[in-house]
Amino acid sequence: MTEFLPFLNDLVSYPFLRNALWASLLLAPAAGIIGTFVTVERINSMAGAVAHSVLAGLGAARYLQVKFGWEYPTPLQGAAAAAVLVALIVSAVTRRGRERSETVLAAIWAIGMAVGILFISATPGYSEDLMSYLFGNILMIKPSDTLLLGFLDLSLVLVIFLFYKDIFAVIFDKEFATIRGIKVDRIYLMMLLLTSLTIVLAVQVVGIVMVIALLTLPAATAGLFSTRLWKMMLFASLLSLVYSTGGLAISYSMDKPTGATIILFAAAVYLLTMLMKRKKA
Amino acid sequence: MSTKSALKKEQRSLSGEKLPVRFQHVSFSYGEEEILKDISFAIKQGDLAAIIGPNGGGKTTILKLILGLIEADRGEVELFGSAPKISRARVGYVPQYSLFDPLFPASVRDVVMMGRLGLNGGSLFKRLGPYRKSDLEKCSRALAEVGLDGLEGRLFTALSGGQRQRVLIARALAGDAELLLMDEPTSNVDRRAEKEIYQLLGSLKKERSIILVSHDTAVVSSISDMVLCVNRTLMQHDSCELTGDMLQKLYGSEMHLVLHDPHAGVHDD
Repeated sequence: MTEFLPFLNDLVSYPFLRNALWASLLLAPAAGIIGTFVTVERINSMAGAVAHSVLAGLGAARYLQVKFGWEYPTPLQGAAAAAVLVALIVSAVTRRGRERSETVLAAIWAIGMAVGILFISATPGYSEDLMSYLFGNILMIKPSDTLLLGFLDLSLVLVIFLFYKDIFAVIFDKEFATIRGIKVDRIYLMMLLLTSLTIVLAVQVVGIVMVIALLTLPAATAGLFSTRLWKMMLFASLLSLVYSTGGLAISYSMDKPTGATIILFAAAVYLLTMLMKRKKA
Repeated sequence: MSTKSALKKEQRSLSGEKLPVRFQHVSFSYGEEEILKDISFAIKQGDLAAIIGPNGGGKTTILKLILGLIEADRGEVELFGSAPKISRARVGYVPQYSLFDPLFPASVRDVVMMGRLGLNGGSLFKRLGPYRKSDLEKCSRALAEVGLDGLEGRLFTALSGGQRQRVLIARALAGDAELLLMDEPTSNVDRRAEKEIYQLLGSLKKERSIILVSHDTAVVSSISDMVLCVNRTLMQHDSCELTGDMLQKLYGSEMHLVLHDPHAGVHDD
């Protein structure tokens, strides 16, 4: 345990580390709630498409800032705009059902990356940040970002409390929900938008490449034991809390990339839990 | 009021109430493919009507039309005397349990409580937040009615196929359904569970109308008041007994839909 003492000492001394810890703590509820939605609804491809399209938004916004001196949109705003746009496209494609949604998602995924890389390569002195977008850098997170995470958590908890019945019905049985008068399209779009915003904020912690794992691994582990949807959300949030704060402490103490450490921590617990459950069965 | 509409109203009120379901010259196509062609039938209060027919013959389309999930290209579909979208809260829809995600984290109570959605007033404010105590009581009563009381906290997907099917019936009952629509409720259950479900239907029909889609022609002919054989078109048949041989012949013959309706007597279309 003595390896973690420098981390605890530095936590007192360095504000950037405290910001990182706050981000880890505040990301957990959002990752647990939205991760459960993504896992149960089986929309991992959609989450992947949103995550990769974020790069286009980040890159375009930064390009405009550097090339033309625009103050706005900031990279975070650009990322949010791209994610929301993808959520709207996915919602429309799902509703109309004419195109094969997996094909559309794969196209969005690749186009998002391609556009992002083009903008980043065209931005003077900016390409070094590509790695931090792809793999995240929690130590660079700003207090304003932690505030946004806090606001997202509050919004999610409120939405789940108020609309839990409808959300449950829409995920479990859309046809029955429609018959009972639930506005299925609106509820689904609301959840897709919240998923997109969660991904935008989570990208800063674990990066574009690993954000899907952050959403799915805690929820998948929680799903092995949960008998109710809200319990799965709660359990996944607690697991996310352990992974993100534990991963931060381990990575800082061992001088390893934080995003990758969080994900490997989560994956190890998931695999061990699954194996133990199978052995027991 | 015109003579025609007055006559229509009179026809609707054979027993003083609006008919649960009435199809009048209904046609429906998916793109170029015609699924239903000019079909007419009516389900009366307390009827247990069975719909049988080959796959792709239009059975599920009829259910979707009744539920207002799709609209007829031609003709008129009435549910309790009005458009399906207006009256569908009075219908309890029971799909096949096997359609649900086997990993979904839902308790029996969660599933049955869905039947209470939309029944506490239409305004957004009334719909928000958790279920009420009265909803929980309805849920318990519905589970008792299908013989599953005490299982509220169990994981839905951990139950047997027959139990899951009965939970879905309880979900429909929890919504005070006056008409139950059942889509092949015994298609993935063992013989014992099948028998239990048919016994349950026998007791449920005392207080509600039931429309049952099934492939089990032998059982259907023994418990139903009316049998609709659907294969795109409808013909009314004069047989009072529905036998396997007759249906075998029917499925491969020119006759596409048979209505065996002991209440209505014999008609040829």
